[in-house]
Formats: sequence, C-alpha cells, structure tokens
Amino acid sequence: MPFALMTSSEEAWTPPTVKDRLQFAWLQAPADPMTAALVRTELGCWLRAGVATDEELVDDILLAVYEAFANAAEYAYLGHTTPGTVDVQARVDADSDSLTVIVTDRGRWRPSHSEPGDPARRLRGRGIPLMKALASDASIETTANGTEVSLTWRGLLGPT
Amino acid sequence: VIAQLKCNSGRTPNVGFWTRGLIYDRQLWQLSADEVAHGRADEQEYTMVDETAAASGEHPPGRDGCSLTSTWVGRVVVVTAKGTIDVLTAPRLTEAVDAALVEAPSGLIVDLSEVEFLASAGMSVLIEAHEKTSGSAGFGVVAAGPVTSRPMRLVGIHEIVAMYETLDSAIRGLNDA
Repeated sequence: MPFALMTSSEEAWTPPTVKDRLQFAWLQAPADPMTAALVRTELGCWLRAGVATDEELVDDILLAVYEAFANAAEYAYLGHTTPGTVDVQARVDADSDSLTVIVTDRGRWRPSHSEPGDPARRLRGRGIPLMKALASDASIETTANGTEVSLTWRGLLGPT
Repeated sequence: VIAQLKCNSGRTPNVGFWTRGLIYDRQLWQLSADEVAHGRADEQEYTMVDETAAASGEHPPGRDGCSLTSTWVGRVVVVTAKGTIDVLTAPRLTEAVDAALVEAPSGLIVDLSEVEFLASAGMSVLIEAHEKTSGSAGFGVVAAGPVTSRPMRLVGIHEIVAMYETLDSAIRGLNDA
C-alpha cells in the first residue's frame, strides 16, 4: 500500500487501488492539474520499475497519458460546480508485449465552439494529435456517460 | 514532519521537486522520517530526500517544478525554462514571455534545453509567443532531445516556429534574420 499513510487532506482522495507488475490503476483521481502531475509521477515510477525499458518510450507514454488526463481535467467537467474524477488504468499484456492505458472520465467533452484565439481551444487542438502521434494506437470514445481514451503501445521490450 | 519524497525507480530529477511541491501545497503526504525509514511508506518507490541537498541543487526549480529566468544578449531576450512545462506551469511561461516583450526586444528566444517535461499546454504558449512577436521581434525556440523537440515536431510546431538545437545557433539565427 504505497499511500497507506496519506492522511489529513481536506480534499476527497482515493488512493490507487491496484499497482503491481502488470497493472496500475488510479481510480477516482480528482480531475485537476495537480493530480494530473501526480498521476504522471506515479505512472512514471511504475513504468520505470520494469514495464518499459526504453526511456524514450517511457517519456512518450507519460506525455500521452498526461494529455489524456489534462483534457479530461480541462473539458469533461466544464460548468460543473464540483470537480469530477478520472480513472487511469494501465495493463501490460505480456503475451503481445504491449501496454494499454485507459483514461476515463464521467463528464462530457464540450465541442470546441470557442474563438480561434482562445488558448483552451489551442491546447485541446494539440493534445489529441499528440496522443495519437505518441501511441501505437489511440482511440477516443465519447458516450452519454463520459469519455474513454485508450492508448496502446507495442514492443515494450524493444526488438528482440 | 512533512516528508519530502523522491521517486527511486528512475532518473527523473523533477519528480522529487514535484512531490515536494505537492506536499507543501496540499499536504497530501504527512509522515515522519521514522515512518519512511521503517518502511511504512513504500520504500521500494520512495526515499526521503535531504531538503538542503535539494535546495542547493544546481538549478533549483520553483515549488511547482519549473524555473524561469530572463537574460539579455544584446537586444535579444532569452527566457530560459527548466523542469516541467505543463498545464500548471504554462501560465508562468506566458507571464515570463509577456514580461520580456514589454522591454521591446529585437528578438525573443525561449530556451527549453533543460526542460524535462513539455505538455501541449506549453507548446500553445510557444505558438502564442510566435503570434505576439510577429511583426515586432524575431522569435525562436531552443529545443533538442526526446522530451521537447520530438513531441513538438510530431504535432508540427517546427513548421510554425523557428526551432534551434542550441542557444548559440538561435542567437545567430535571430541576428541574421
């Protein structure tokens, strides 16, 4: 239990529920930029502890997952009075030497109807292409219940 | 005792600072040095970091893991960023750029050579800086390596903004323009 001692935060906080060699999950993470950075740190520790050997690949994964989380933090809960939460779930498939990271929110990504000069529009404009360029596969599915970003990397251990 | 923790399992110097910032700002982790030393925290992943060692680091970043400085080379202003440029710290880069432009430089260079994490929020600041300087000053970005130059090129920033591998080449590039 890495976070067993975490106490006394006034904010609602649910620690990661799973963290072992093949999976990492951080459920109900507050959808805010501070937590986005913290998730990046935690996921980086997990990746570097043996999931991916190539530092450049680790950097790619951390950036893409950060962008997915930041998008959720920025857009999913626009107009909500209370901050929403995001689930980050990563799973290694040892057989296919691949990693899939799923970032889920329960809000709604608003269509980009802002002015072209609006910084938020530009942020979103580059975040999604960045995710798609960094991952082997990237998909974004929006339903009435929220948005699920699925990012997959293959060849974690490099060419054999 | 509010602990300062550092990630052990990778060469990620900004992680310790990040964690420290989070502890100071939100007090998420409150545990004593004893608890860490005796493994009640996850010692596989974290150890205590000597605060004085961290504070006297070569380039101590701000509490949010980002440090920004501006220096002048002739009439060219260089904004040097170190550490992390993400959603949280990108507004500070905007502030640094705006403050530099108030002085009406002939050129603006944003040096990302020592940036360890660059999110799209930071790239947006660079696009905005390009637009702000358009017609009034030259603009260039120094970026090399996998965490800055590579993601910027992946989304085509290099087609909009002049990118250089070194500060020297950026200064030469702006002066020649």
